[in-house]
Amino acid sequence: MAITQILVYVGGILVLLIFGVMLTNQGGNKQNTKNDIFTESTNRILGFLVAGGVFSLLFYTFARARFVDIQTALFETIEPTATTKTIGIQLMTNFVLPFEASGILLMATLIGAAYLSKKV
Amino acid sequence: MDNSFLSYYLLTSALLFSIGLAVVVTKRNVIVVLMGIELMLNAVNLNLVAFSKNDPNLQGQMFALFVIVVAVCESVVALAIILKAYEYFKTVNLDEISEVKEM
Repeated sequence: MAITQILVYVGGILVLLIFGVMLTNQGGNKQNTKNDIFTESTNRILGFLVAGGVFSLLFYTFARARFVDIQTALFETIEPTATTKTIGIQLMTNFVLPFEASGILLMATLIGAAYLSKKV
Repeated sequence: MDNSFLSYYLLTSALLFSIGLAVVVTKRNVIVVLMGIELMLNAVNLNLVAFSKNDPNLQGQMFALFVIVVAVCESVVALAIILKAYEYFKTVNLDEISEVKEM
């Protein structure tokens, strides 16, 4: 799972984001000589207040819940198996419809991005 | 399988989600806002994978896989839209992009 995450991120999203930053950071807004990625934050106090509130709520919930006790009480321990094999089998049996749907979604995304970014 | 690190996973995920929320709410660069959304999605993925350690069928990991796919699609389309909007408005500041229809 971590390998999937790293592959997808290095290969796809990071390259996309860096291209986005490079393409939108050229010219046009160079009158303020600082880099455009360091934009000023608006309503900083309210935003950090909301985020801190969410974090404290989540932290309170996770601190109160006894997930490990519940797990040991309800589930029998499962032995570690090779997750890659299980993922492959599941992907081709139980999850074949979402798998194909995600293929179609990726295709539609490709076409949509090409259509959006073409010159008119 | 021993899952005694579950609370630490959950704590990390809560921290990631809160940072993503703060970034989305406060930053005004569109690309930085997209990065914040990706951060929140990754927090959710971390939760799913951490809980799916209990499950021999690994449904949480499957769901995390599809979340990754959908996140990639969303990010691609959003970046295409951002490029078009930058071509038109010459800025990526969200406060200056306030109309959709051209006048």
